[in-house]
Amino acid sequence: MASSIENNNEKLTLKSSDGEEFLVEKHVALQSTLLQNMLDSDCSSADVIPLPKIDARTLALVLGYCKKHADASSSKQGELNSFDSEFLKDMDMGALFNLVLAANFMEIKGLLDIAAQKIADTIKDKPHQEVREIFHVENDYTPEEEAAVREENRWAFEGFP
Amino acid sequence: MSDYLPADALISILTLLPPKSLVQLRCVCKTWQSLITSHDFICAYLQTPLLLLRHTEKYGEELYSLRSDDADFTSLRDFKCPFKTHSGCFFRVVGCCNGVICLSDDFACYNYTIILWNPSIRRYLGIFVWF
Repeated sequence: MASSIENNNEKLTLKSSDGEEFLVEKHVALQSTLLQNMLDSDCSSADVIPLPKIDARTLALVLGYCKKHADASSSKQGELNSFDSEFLKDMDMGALFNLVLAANFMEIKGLLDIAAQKIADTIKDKPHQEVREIFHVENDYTPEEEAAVREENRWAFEGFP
Repeated sequence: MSDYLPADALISILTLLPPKSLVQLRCVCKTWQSLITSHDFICAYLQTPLLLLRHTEKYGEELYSLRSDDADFTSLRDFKCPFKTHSGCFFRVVGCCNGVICLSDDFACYNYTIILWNPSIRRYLGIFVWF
């Protein structure tokens, strides 16, 4: 950790799955536990850190989030909260899923929490058929099996198709 | 499962849903059904502690509500007790653990019923005890 603070002005390069490179200040990258662990264990000798699961559009969003949170002092929690809600506003489900994937992979807990919460809020009152489509899940129940699970929990489906 | 998300990311989302949604989402597919009912998922889900309040507005009626364990004490869900005691009196709350409430109908009688009740998913188990 001490070395991370000493080298505060250093930068590192992250490479997205589609080949775009991002130059990031170290204190911003430290918002990610994955990158922090890599830096702590001296894996940073490589010039470029590849992030094969994250495309450039998502990585840009993730780094925007990390920069805001790294630069803000702890006394600005209110400002960060409004940044967070503005950050996810108008984001479609595809982009939210990509953010969850990226935050999960890079271990950025705050970002994972807000993106997961936004998805949970969106699907909370949706019928299961619609949730299946949103998550691209294939229904492997037979109609009889599905009806049986539904019947077992009939109360939870009141008001749903 | 999902083309989009690995299991741990999916769990991060599903643990944020209310019990009623989760009960319904067991119908999505077999993998979701086993995930939602799995020991690991339930343990992750129970990480947020809640408070249970019992109160009454008239004699013989028991009302319960789940509250957040913070300064606001926000009411999250309200339940009416679906069981009746033999004496028309109240149940004794023996204890509460992981969302399951243990009720005992042992006021003013020599034999009694013990009920294990999970109001969030509307399941219960009754045991009749003789003395």
